[in-house]
Amino acid sequence: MINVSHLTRTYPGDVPIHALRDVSFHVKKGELVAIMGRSGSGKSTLLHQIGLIDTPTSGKILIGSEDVLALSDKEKTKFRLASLGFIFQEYALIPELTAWENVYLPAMAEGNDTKARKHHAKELLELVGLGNRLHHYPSELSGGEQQRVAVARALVNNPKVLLADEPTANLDSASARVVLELFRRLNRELNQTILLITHEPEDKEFVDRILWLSDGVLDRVENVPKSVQEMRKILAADGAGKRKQQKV
Amino acid sequence: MNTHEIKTAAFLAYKSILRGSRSTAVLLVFIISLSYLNILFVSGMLFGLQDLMVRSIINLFSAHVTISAQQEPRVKAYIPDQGDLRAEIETIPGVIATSRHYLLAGSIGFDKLKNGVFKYISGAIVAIHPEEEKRVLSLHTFLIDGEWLEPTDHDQIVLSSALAGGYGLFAPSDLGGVRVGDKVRIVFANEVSRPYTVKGIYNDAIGLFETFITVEEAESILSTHNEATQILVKADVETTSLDTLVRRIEDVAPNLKIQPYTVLLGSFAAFLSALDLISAIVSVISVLVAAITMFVLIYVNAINKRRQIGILKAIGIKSGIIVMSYLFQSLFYSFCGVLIGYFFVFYVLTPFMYANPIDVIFGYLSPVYSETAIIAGIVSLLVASLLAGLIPAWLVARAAILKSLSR
Repeated sequence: MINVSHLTRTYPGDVPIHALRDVSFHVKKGELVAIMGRSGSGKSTLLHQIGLIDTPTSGKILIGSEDVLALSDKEKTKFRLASLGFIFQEYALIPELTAWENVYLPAMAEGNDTKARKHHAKELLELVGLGNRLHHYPSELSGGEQQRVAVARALVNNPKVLLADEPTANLDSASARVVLELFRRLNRELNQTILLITHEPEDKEFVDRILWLSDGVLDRVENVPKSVQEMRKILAADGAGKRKQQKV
Repeated sequence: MNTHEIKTAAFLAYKSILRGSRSTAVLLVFIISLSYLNILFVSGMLFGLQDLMVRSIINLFSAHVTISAQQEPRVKAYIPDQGDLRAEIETIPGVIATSRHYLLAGSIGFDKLKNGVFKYISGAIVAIHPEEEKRVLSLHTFLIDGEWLEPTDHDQIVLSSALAGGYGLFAPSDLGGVRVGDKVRIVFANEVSRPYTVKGIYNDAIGLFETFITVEEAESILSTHNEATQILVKADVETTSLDTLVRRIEDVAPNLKIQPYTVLLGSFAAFLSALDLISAIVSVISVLVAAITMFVLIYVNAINKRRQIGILKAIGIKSGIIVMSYLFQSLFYSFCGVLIGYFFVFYVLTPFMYANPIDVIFGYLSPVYSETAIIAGIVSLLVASLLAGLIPAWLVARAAILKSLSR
């Protein structure tokens, strides 16, 4: 799904900053991969290159079969809208729009069937547990709720990849857990490919793999032990069972 | 830009107006309404002043067309057979009335102390038919003392307050305070000298230095009959253009000198052009002030929303949609401002000015609006607001996403 090869990002200046150096990795479709590392290790820079909101100095990124760095600025904007879902560290919602409108906005800009997308936006808000908060403005929602709206917004155009830049950094531990469980569910139930940045070691249990960055270099790739994943599957199945019971 | 992108821009603009800063919105609308009010009202008052001055010239001095005696090939003193000529001119469509004048030169003398010593002042003496004159000019409505002449008043005159003196008007020289009923003596250029009683004194406020006698009296002095120095033509210039009217009169009187009032405005024309220029300058300054203020407000607003704009771009909203949403907002505020300004000018200020016109001596000044000024004001403010919205939004929206996202 995502193929990054020899990615380098150097910020020019009197003293050039080598934020990423020759980073290469592959993320499969339906994988939930975390990028971890110390502050300043290049995590956000890497996500920004994949999210097409910055341009690398060199290297190649394939998302699906698309060589995204070869796209023009206009095509990149279109690709971001249609194929990528971006979730920011801070609850990056538009304050003048309700939760529903925030989620619906990218669909509106893409020009898809209005009624269907509106309904889809509503479904997504229900999926993230905010079905009763459709008409609330961001200022009327808690941090965790805002972040879940941001997740729903990122999903509205059925993106190929969901990119999340420390989505739980500003949340209390309970809200953070809710958001991470949501990612896990999206990954499991919708087979959504997710690449997220986190700095919390305990978040490991939610992901399949971890890309460890250090000083802009991909230090190592850590596969999360099977046992943890099995445990997670049980938890997820238990969660799904509970949801089925609730529906009944 | 396709339909759904325009819809998205309109949606963002709508929500931004609905949920955005009330104080910024109120300030923007207030500035635009003040600018529109300024453009309309100042140009309206200046246009009103022009209109009043031109009307004064037409009503007190020249009528719409002045016909003078033959100038070429040989200069003649009088227009012959004025009765037939005027009858023919009055059949021309658009002509309302005509009147004839004899213009005489002479000196008016007044023995204020009744001791046999007269003070003489040179002045224009205009002979009129008092009833015909009332149909063409309106000097008779400017009497401040006494009465207007009757056709049979051979030994009576009406003179200007500037010439009479003592009415508080500036004049280089006057008779020292002639009042109605006083006896004066006029010595005409042909050395005929006659006494007259002052029947009325008028104040035209544009400083005409004239004395009026009847045409029959003038004919007895000049030994003329059925002639005139000039014929004034009053017309309905709403239905017949001045040029057409002049051409038709030229057909009827090919040898006479025919001048529309626009030619006779003389130095007034330069003054009227200056008023046009002042009006244009005030309008341009108003539009510039409005545009710059709007630019600053919208720029500050856009800078404050820089991160929000960065987020919109990061989630795939085109810069064009973002810029257009700002344009829609600018247009909305501009439209509201113009609407409020228009309402205030036409439903508050103008009715007030019509009820309380400004006394400018030669008439009462009220604003007069031309359709061109109204439309030009709207268009210039809308264009200014479009630019004032476009430039700051474009400056902020074109910034790199990462730069916009950074705090």
